[in-house]
Amino acid sequence: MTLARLVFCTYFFTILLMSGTLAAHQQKSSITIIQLNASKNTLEITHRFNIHDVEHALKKMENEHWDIVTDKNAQTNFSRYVQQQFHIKINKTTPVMLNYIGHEVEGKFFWIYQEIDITKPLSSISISHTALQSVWASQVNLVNIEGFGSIKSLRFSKQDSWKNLTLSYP
Amino acid sequence: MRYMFLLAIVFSFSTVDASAVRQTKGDFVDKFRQLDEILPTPNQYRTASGEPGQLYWQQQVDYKIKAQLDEKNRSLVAQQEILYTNNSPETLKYLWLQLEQNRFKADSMAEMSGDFAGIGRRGPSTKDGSGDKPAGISFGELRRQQYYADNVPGYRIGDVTDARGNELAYIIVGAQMRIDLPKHLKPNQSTTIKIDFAFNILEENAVSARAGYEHFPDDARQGGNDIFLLAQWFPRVAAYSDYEAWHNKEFLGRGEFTLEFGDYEVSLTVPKDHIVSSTGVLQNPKAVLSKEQIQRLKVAENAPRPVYVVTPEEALEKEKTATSKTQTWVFNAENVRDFAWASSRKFIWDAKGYQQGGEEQPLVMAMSFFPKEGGDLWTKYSTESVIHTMEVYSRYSFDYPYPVAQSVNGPVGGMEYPMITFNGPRTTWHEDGSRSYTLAEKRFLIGVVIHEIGHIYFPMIVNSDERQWTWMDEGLNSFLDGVAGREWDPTVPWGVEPRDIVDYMKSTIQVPIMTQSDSVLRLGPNAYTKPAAALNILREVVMGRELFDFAFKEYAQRWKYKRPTPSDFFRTMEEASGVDLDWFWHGWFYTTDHVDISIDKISELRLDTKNPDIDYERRQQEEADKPTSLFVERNNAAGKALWVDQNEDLKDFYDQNNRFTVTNKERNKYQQMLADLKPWERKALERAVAEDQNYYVMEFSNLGGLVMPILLHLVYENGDTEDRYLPAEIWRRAPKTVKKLIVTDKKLSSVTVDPGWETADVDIYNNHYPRKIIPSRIDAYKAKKSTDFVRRDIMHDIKTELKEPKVKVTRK
Repeated sequence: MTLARLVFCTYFFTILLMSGTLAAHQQKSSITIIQLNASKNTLEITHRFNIHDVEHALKKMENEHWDIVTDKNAQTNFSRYVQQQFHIKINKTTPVMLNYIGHEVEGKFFWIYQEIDITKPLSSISISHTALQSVWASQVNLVNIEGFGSIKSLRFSKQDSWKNLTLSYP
Repeated sequence: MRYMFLLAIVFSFSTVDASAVRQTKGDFVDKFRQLDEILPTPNQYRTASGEPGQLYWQQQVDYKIKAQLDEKNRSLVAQQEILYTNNSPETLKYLWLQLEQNRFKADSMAEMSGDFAGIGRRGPSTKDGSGDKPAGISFGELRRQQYYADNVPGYRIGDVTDARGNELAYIIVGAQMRIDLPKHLKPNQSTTIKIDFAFNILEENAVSARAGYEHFPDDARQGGNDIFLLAQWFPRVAAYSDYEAWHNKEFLGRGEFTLEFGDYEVSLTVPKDHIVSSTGVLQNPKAVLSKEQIQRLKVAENAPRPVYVVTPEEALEKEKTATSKTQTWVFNAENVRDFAWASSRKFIWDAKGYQQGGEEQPLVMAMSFFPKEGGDLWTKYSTESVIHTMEVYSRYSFDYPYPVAQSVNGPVGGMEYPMITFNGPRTTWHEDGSRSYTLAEKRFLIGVVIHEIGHIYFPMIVNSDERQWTWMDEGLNSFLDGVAGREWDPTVPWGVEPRDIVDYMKSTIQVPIMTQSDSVLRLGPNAYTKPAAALNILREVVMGRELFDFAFKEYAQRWKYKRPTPSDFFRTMEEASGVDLDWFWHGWFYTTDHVDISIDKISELRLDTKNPDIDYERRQQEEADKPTSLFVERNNAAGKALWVDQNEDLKDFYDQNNRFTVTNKERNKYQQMLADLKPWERKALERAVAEDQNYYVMEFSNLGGLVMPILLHLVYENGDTEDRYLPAEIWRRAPKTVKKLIVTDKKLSSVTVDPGWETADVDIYNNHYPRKIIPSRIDAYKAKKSTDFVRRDIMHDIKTELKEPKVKVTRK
């Protein structure tokens, strides 16, 4: 038996208060769509989080109460945080820089938009998505990749690191 | 028995696709196949109509409990007497009890089966090591481990005896207990069992339980104060049903509970300065409340707004002191399937009577219990939300049947029990001593109170089995809380719109809604959002409100105080509405298909009159409408002289009469054809020719697999619009592609499928004919003005001081 190292996850150290029968609001899951925009030759990345998750997560991460619906700083902070937690590699290179397009609150959701120009045909994509997983362990981030034949989905739980998909154009 | 049941489900799943009934040639899929092989065979307990049958029975379990709360040691000691009545036709040799407190023991199945860094785990986070990266453990997980090392969780079971005090044999299996009966319990017999028990109350925040204590170290009282929430706090007899016998599937933490209905008499001994909120009606108010408090409760019965029974000032004063005295609160509850309570000296208490009228329960006391941390948010909205929920839910089900409905603030985010709910949202404290809350937090509070009070209807009264089918209470309740939310304030984004579930439904990572709670991969979208969206679509698109609401209410009333299964819901909704919904249940609940209907092509047709004088003319016109040959056009442009023009004298008959010239030969044939027609045929042809309608054939394909009605929005050249509804049954003989003929006197210019995004169609692009350029979400965002109102920082801007406008001094 080998002795594995065990360290503190120091960044977040409080645990989740919400439990029990969740009110339908807090879902602890997000959905990201990576969509090929063939006419502009870009990959468009849209992250969708539940407002309820975002506000409670901010409270845990920064120990301060933010009003995500009206507070611009809170929105920017969360948007930046997600950008730091989401990475892609194209054609097995190093992680690529994604262009930040913007973020917005709409209805029950907080949206973050990113984009990247495609300079050569895509043969594979690797994704890492760790948003909110240090805040609560049950966070699941679902990623749908669209525009390369039938939809492909990847599911990121706490223990996942990079996941890779081979792509082909329809 | 249980495993048999699960196996049966799995098998029936595959029977449709793989065994008994199978398409073994061709690729036809019968989307409208009736659920006969999937649903259990009806019997005298559960009928084919989805009703409780003639011989429907359920057990009755009555409890008398005396419990003493030891505040200092945070433990509970209790003596309980269970009166078990066997209404089943079977003879019972033993009783199974649920010991949920044991779920936190180190040897429980929940703890032992916990996957380190696994998915769907409740509680603190852990991270697996990978490659050269060390594994991670959070402070939260350490706190949990240390808490367990320092505190012994789980029940300590004392004497287990019959009514006369004779010891009974029992065995504890994880979080369950089997008590062997000395004499077999025959049908219609009762037996009494006494159990003494105790346990350490868990710190909710340390172990992510569904109940426990929360400590407030900063209160003025030395050592601080606690709020105690007690649930799953006594050994509860497991359900025994006609379809599963003993429901002795161990509690793993997620699949919640189902129990038997019964009557409770519970005495709760707590510190004298505590306020207790509990399932049931207080039996000894004079002993535990002041005259003033009793008076305030009386006033609250008819008050327009909630009245404080304990004011914030009184509660704050109590926070400062301690007492070693105790007093006993006695609560009785009739016909409830569980019993929970809360106790603290921190509680502010308000109440307002809900005069619902009717015979069963004309007055319901809506009450809230919350610490100062709940603040204004709770004062304003908790009790009012409780009443709003009852007003709306009762319209869709039945009058609220219990005398009280309560909302309690404590460490639990949201959890429901009969007559009492635990709700988490709070205000935030600021350095200057003030408290505020965000707009989102306000919505959370109202939303969670509606949701949890709604659960008193489903599943506390309509007693579905949460351990097996989370969606039966969460899905139905999420659907109805959306209805109630929209009636509170439709500008708040409540509830579930079909579009919200689209991205989940098109993903390849999901399980059917009909999956046992503990096995669901993503409980949120699977048990809450998708079924709620499905019911929304059923109501707004497939059945219509009138039929849906009638059937839904019928389901609620049939199963009030009874135990429905999924098939009872499916059957009742069909039987009461007269709408065949097997295709809907199958597609939405038993598969992972999604909706994607594409309009592929529209052909324009015109009816031939058969009259050669008309039809030949039309053919000639069609020919003339074709573009001329580029060759000929260029020759013309080049001024090429034509042979025929240069040799006029050689023109003949065929230059005068082209190939579309009608002769009497055709006319005679036409007249003969008319003469041969039967009178009704002739009439039909004449009318059709006279009306000369436009005929359009539309071609649709079903790309997602889930069949749905086709909602059409037609736009005509003259600007008129029209909506048409093609029922889902259009797909019954051709599940992949269908055509539809539309006859109209107008010229069609464009068609849209599902223009209102009502069917959860995942691809909007193929819903337009002709195709439209649809901006992606990012394109749309880029084009949007950034002066969105929601972006205004009102919280900050509101602090701006009002200034007098500067007045320019002008000379007179």
